[in-house]
Amino acid sequence: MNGLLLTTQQALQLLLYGDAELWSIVLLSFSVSLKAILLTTPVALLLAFGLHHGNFPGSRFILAFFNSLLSVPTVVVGLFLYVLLTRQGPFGDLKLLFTQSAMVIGQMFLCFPVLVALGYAAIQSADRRVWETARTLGAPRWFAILTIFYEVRFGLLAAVLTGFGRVISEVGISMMVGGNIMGYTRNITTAIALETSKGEFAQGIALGLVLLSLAFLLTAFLSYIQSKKRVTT
Amino acid sequence: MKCWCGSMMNKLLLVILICIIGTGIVQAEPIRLATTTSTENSGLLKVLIPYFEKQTGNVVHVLSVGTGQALRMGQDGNVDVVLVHAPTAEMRFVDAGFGLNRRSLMYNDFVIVGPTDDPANIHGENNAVRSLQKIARGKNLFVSRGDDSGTHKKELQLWKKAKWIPDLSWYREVGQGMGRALQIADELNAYTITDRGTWLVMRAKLSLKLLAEGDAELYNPYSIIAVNPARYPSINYLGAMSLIAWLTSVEGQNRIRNFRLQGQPLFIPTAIKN
Amino acid sequence: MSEPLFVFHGIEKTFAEVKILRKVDLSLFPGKCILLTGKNGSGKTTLLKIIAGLEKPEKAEIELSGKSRCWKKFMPIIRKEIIYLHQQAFLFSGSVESNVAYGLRFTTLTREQRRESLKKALEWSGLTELAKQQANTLSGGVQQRVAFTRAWILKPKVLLLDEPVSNMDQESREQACLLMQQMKSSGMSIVITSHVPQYFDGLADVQYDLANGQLLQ
Repeated sequence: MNGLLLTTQQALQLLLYGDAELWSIVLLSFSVSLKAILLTTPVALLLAFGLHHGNFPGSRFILAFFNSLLSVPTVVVGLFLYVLLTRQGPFGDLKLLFTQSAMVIGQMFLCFPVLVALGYAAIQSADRRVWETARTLGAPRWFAILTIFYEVRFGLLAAVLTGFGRVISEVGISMMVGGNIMGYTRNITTAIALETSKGEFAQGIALGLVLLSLAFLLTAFLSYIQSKKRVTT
Repeated sequence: MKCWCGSMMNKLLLVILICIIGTGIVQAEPIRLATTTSTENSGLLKVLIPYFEKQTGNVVHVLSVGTGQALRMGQDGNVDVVLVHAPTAEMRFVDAGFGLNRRSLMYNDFVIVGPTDDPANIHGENNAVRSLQKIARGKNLFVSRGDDSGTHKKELQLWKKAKWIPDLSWYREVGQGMGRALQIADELNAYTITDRGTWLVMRAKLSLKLLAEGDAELYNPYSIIAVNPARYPSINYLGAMSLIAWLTSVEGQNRIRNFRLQGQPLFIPTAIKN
Repeated sequence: MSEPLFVFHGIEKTFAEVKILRKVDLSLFPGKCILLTGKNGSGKTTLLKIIAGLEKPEKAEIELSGKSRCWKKFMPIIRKEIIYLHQQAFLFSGSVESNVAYGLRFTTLTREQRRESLKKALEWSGLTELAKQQANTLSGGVQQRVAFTRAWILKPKVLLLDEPVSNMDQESREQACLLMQQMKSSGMSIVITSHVPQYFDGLADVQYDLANGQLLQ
């Protein structure tokens, strides 16, 4: 127990005194995951809208497919992507393996189903009259879609936050296609894996604390949003 | 209704922008080096590489995985140069045409560690093969890397020489890096073979003791091999060769010789014969 | 008798194997109010939505300034000139102001003109004091006024009001009818559905009953 307290103390010191290496790792995590979320959200939400309003025969099947991907193990996605990106693989010439871009791509695959499934649920909860009112007042289709998004904005935000939570904490993809290269593809989760394997628990705990605080903030924010949702509907 | 661009939103966007730009800086073509976890654990590369980068203006990306995986990465053309410690596998790698210009770089040794009370009584023996036989006979717990690494390959060679096939009742294959393997051995109070570098780094946190060393069988040589550019034209062959040149140069070899881990020398350079 | 704004011929619609509308004809005249009655589920809402361009009929023809075309051809014009209001006034989340101004962004008015338009519209329905109030905090009657204003501000040729005064107390009802009268006077063609026709005695010029998919006087 004493050892654990000492390690935690060391961890806090590392964090508070701005250990450059540590914070560069944190920055990398955020950079990669934010890019993934920002690139995925517009397409995923539009797809969710299409699935809801499209009324075409395959839509329920597609939705079930995305729902099943919600809890796909990240190592599986990582492995799949590795095989695609390796030099001998179909996309080897793009030289994406062991780069941040590969991590972003992998995380995009990971959060896409989350955004589609949860986005769909949010859009589904919208009043049917939103679309009709928007259209009858002269809104073109694309603006009517934005109006719907605005009406269910809290649900959409929850979807985005959930997706972000999923990618910021994944390690399977980052490890496999990122390669855990110091200063280049080492993010919070791969760093924790590495440091603990070397027995450097202080570093591991420091990073773990960052991740935990982030998870806590996200959850708190999410429940704040939920409460706002209850007030306005 | 649409005007949710309050200052809160603006601040959030600014933070996001900084994060994104912060790590998207373009670099010159990097040299990708795949090496083993034992090399990484010792901290040698962390000291050496910056000198190389500064003097040559190159950037080196180090991927530390097991020997088997490192060679595989070379074979697949995903890295430019490999630094490993498994002579038989290395020669096969070169013979198959996957690698060129194999240079002997340095060596250190393996040691056998185990529980303080040493139930198999191998302490002081300093004979690797006999130690393993004693461990097997006594059915004492033994942790194996099980991950096709240089250490794992050496361990398997030793079992072969001991003419013993390990039994699952006392043999634990963990399939992980040396640091993890040592931690597991510590938890299980088991014996294991480790490279001296990782041992020096980790011993303060473990309750295991060094029980056997010095046997010629425990010799651990490292080589560096460039990946064959004929197979993958886009390989950074020049970069790989310049790294090999530097590491096997007088300066590089001196720096390896002068590397200290907890005040002890760890690697003995072998590239330049006196 | 002035020229009709729109004439709808032969509207047909089937839903769940039931023919809701059988060859319905309807002419909309400026400044005139049509009252549409009928049982629940008789298809009044469907008819209005088709006219507004929110639902697709199986078959329908529209006559505009003497030219008769298939329904699809006149869709853009219909959508621009005909506005439909839901039964329970539906407002977007936001303030009274943002609701009323919603449709203005699709017009070609300048920013100044839009501000003027908004100001006048709020005065027209007496909502100026409530401009910044959140829509979901308003009473039913006030919400209906906001919905009216939101449509009125766009100066449509036709307004379709689905059960505009159901669930309203007398005072709110009278206020609503006053606004409807003003809309009529300004030249709009109004269609109202209701199952209590007495409310609109002074307002309606003609009354139709929708039964078995057909309109009867």
